[in-house]
Amino acid sequence: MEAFFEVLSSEFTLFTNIFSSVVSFNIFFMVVAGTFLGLVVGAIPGMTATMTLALLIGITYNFGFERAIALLIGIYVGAIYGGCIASIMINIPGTPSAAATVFDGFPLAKKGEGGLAIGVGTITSFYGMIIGIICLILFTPIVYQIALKIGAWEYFFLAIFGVAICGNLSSSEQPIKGWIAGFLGLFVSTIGLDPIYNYPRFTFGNSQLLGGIFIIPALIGVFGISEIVNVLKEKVPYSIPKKIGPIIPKLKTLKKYVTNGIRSGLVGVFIGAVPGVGEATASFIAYDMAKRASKEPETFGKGNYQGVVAAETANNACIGGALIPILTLGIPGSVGTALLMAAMIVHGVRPGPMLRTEFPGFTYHVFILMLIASVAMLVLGLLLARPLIALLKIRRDILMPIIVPLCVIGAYAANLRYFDMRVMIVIGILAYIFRWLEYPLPPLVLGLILGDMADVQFRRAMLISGGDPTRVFSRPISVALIIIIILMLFFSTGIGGRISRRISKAFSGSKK
Amino acid sequence: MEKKDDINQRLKELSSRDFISSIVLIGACIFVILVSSRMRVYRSFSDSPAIFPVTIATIIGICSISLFIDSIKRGALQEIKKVWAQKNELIKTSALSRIIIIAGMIIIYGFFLVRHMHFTLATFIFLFGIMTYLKIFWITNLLISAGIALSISYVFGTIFNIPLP
Repeated sequence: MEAFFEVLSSEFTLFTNIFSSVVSFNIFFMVVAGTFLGLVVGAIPGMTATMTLALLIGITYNFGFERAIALLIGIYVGAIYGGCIASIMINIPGTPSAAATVFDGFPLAKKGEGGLAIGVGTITSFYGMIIGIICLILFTPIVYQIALKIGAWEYFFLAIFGVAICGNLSSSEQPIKGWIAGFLGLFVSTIGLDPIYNYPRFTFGNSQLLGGIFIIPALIGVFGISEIVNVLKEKVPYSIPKKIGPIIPKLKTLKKYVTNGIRSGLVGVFIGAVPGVGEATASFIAYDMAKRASKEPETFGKGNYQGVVAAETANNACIGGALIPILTLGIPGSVGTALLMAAMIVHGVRPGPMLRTEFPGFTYHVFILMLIASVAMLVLGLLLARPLIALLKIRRDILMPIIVPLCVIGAYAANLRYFDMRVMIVIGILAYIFRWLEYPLPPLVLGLILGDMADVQFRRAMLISGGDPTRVFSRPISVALIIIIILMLFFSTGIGGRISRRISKAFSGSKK
Repeated sequence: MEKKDDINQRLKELSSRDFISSIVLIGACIFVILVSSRMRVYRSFSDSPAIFPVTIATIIGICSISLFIDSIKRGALQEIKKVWAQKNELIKTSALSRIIIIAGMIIIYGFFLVRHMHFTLATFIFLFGIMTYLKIFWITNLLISAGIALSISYVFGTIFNIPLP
């Protein structure tokens, strides 16, 4: 008992120290500015959270780690929420995470209740953030304890699991394309000197490639350049409903959404904690669960506030959930957090089980930044809802070309190499071709980020087991991961898919 | 939510793209395995630099073969004939030409203009060029291009002290 209180007291001292250092004007300003920027970019269709994060990782390179991470967390939180404004007002998701908000948000806007839908979305996004932060505080120490016990084989299979599940969920009709994209990402990360023997792989005599494909230009290419080409390829006209209505909902109305909010928040955290899945999936699953749980499911899709509540709570709760595997295992829970992880790595902070030893208090640092960002999101979201709606009038054919020079600066700034700029453009165009071929991009990015870890851990595991891969079967966590991966791949393919459909048909038949 | 028929129709239309992409990927995997087979083996193959790329390329190869077979089952060959017959119309579509021109302008900007000119001037030329193509009224275009090129250079180069290309 005494030891417990000793640990508790030292953790509290650490927390207060971190709190006093984080709540300085500089950091506070960075989080609020980031949240504001996130709201703005999230609200503009075509400008996504991932695009902005990818752009700013390079640009914030000179800011120093604490300020850079404060700005990036603010942007991430703000943009995930900001996406709901365009979803509700113009039927185009501002960010992919707000895609499920469209179903009920836009019908509400057509009825002249767009303002109230945004107000409900803002408050429930805040709900979601708080649920995510609480789960982050509660579960990080537990997962951290598990993380310390797992070895090379487990890390390798966790990386493969992340890539496979991300591939599965981001391309539900053709999961095989998701897996191909994920494994291509893993392959691209092998270009350059290999991390164990320093042997040049796939460099073909080009000295610039010896350092590998630097992650920032690659991310800017995938999320920046390909998105710009995609948005500019055709004109999508849209009109904004004239009547917006009041923004702030009544307390009595909000009480109706508590159960749905808590359920959706927990769904968001859970989906977020699964490596590589992310906010868009979380909001769709929460929306579906809210519809099933509702006494009037037929009103969903026709302007039911519960639909907006489910989608918005889940996508914001997902942020907290997605940070759990990063801080403990070094494996991102979503593409957005993958970018945050890339930013941490660029600044010399390697997330994973050693994080608590190398940077004690960093987890608290993240909690506090998220809390400040959540409050800023709530206040700015409610105060600036009307000006943010006006932002939707900005012409995308003027805005998108302006982002190209920012992409160029972002790619160049970190290493000061023209080569990185070219890599960004080449990867951006290839990513656009991938989009056209309907290969999902999130698994590609996840593979790119996890590739280094998967490579090193795989070879380390092979070395430890004396080149005998069957030794993996003596490790229960690895075996469990292998079984999950095999089942997931099997049920997503032809025969497995048919079996699962028959099983679900049989179940639904027996229910009737 | 999409209906099952719509999904099947879309998958049929996608079959030609899947067919071509799977062939390219199978070729790429064979190339990667061949290049990897020439890599140096230090202690044993199990920890050599080649083992991870070979494993990944094999997995991608298997997935690509599966995609290739699936695309044929979805009628890729008929779809390719159909697309080939309409090739002239497809080339003329405004979306395709827009994509090529926009991507071309980005390549010229990133590969040549920024390298051989001052960043502000290169950015101005790029923005003015692309917005002219996007049919933005010329005075608005001129003002926006000049204003943005100067502001980006000033904000990032001078205020944030970020080295510009």
